[in-house]
Amino acid sequence: MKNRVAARAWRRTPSWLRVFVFLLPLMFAQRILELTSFEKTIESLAYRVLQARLHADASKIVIVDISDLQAVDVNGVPQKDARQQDLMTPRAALDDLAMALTDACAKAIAFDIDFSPDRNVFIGQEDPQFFKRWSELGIPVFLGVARAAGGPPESWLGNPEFARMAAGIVVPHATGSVAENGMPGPYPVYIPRLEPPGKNDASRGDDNLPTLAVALATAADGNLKRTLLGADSPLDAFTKTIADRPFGEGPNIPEFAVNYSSLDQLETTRILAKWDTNGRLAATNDWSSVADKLVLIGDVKGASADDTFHVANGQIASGVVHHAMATATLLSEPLRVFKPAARVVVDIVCITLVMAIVLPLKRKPPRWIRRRFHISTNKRNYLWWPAAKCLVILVLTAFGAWLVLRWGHVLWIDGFAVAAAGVLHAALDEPMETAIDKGMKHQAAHT
Amino acid sequence: MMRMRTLFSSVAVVAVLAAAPIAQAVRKPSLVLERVNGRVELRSGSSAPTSIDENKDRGRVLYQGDVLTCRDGASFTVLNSAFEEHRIDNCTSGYVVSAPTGASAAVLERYGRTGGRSRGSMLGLLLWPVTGIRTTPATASQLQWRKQSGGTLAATLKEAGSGRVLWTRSGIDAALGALRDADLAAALRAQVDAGKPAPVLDVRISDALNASATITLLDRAAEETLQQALASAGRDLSGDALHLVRADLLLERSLPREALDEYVAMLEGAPESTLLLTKASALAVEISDPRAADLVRRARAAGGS
Repeated sequence: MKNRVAARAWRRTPSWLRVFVFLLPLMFAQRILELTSFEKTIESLAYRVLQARLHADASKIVIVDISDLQAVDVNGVPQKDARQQDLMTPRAALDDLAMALTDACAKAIAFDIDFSPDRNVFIGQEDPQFFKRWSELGIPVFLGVARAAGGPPESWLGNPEFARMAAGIVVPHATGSVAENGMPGPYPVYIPRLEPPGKNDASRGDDNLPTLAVALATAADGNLKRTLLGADSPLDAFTKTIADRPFGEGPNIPEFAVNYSSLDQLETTRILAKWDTNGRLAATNDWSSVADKLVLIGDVKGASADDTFHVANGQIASGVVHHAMATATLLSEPLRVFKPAARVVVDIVCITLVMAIVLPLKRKPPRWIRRRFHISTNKRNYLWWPAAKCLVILVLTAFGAWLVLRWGHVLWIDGFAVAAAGVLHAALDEPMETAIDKGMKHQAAHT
Repeated sequence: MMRMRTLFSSVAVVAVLAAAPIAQAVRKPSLVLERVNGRVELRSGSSAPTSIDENKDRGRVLYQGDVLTCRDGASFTVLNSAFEEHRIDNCTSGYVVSAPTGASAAVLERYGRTGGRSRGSMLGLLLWPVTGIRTTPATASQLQWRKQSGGTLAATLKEAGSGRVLWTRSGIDAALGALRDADLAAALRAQVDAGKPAPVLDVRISDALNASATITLLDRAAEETLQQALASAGRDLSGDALHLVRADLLLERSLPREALDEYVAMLEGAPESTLLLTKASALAVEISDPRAADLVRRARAAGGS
């Protein structure tokens, strides 16, 4: 009796509503998919494809490559063969460079070199004197900090006086990829203080170390914080430019997504600094192209394995190029991702559209096709229509992803996972429905 | 006398660390004065500079912001937070004591890499073999070091733990940069056969210029399986296809250096292949191979990674 009622109810259910019944397990499957590596594979592929469609303007940024600058010992003597911990980038040569760039009217300078003290000892014995000198150049100068990142501000460059010049150069392991939590292609906004404050450390609210790209971009754009935090765009209601990455028991690290499309442009404008035999800046260098530009100084050509990172398309870039691309991202337009609630809404809208428009497509093909090609009903039901549906779903998803990327710089990478679920359904819809119909008929015949 | 000094310094360091929470309320202790050579003045806070006494001030705690000024070419030595000695001799215009840097770097390692320009822009002396990269005796016996303008190099293979010398050779021309030694290969093979696949290789040009690597060797059973697989591939394939399959087999067994050699061999036939350059450069970067920079540059030029 119950079966007969169920069969009657099923027959009376409109076909578009029947799809809901099939989609419930499918939506469940999609959620399970999110927990597997397959979901990540789809998202990673989508991320790479979308990255290739991006454009970031890096015309305000110049990289100065100091690969040819020979390391020296603490006395400033070139020592090719000393232990690495006994070597450093010669400060006098960097001072020459800072002066030359200031004279050439650079807008700001950032060094991708870790200047923080090593176990309470300054790397260069005269570092504080150089820091002081660079702080008085008249343009913003940012000095890389890695060893002391996460510590209190006075530890960043060994003295609270220089804390405002400090900029974090820690690059996430997940760079260039879609990480578990946080942003795809992540770059930190700042490194929060990881060590608990001491008794005498009054919390001043500025214990977070800004990263190199953020510090540099802020020097060029006073409204950067406002842009990053989202206060201007109508998209802010359902998208975000910063995501917090949980980090152990410590504070979260906020991250934004890097637009890697400026890589080639940065390569073409890069300047290789030349040095004379005494290790001082050669007079033959031409600095005319740095006027009113943000200048990043670091090792490109000879970057060590520790300073080499993957970018979105599988290419490898040195740390300074990575920081430059992050700066270009901030100056162009930060990338966005959907907020969690918006993501669920978008998923539901997409699934509804697929259910209402794409999946019910079962009409006979146009007459001219039927005349030209003799397609059997079975082939039509099990092959042509599922294939057409899959194609429509994929094209619509790609178009949708492209549209939100162009319109709002939104990386909708999980849309392709939704599409995968839709494709799976389109392929299995007909066999499933036939099987259920057969089951119902069989049940009715028995009763 | 030396023992007393060491004991005194250690006690001082421990005292500094123990007193840190108390001292934190005023100033943060950062370094310990270990030795003074000549006339050095200390200015602490707003007080007037005072002369450092070579004997009395040994083991003195130096606080963040203290300034030590050297007169007449003087110098001094401090102990850092890792109890390492640091000689400071650029101090005529005043050496400023840094704030304690803390230990957050170790925590941050889980999040990312420090990046930045390497302190030593050059690689170490020993380029191959490298600690932590698994290899075979045949490959490990192809030593590579950074070429020197002159001098001789001595290399010694020692058993891990006992330090027993297994192989040694001296008088090698340091300008060569590479050496293949059959006796070294035999010594390494003997270690594998003895089930001790982690010998230590020391190379030395002078006291100031030396390096060592712990060689991780493939065990005997795994090597036999690998040789069978390689022989089987060799029967069925030739040319680039053989190199490609061999590279895959080697990578399956975590032998990146050997796999890199296969890719480099393929690149001789197709020097601009983006696929090969991408794979080879990624492998070379991963194992810090001396060919990495060149391969990455070529890969970029070819439009790959």
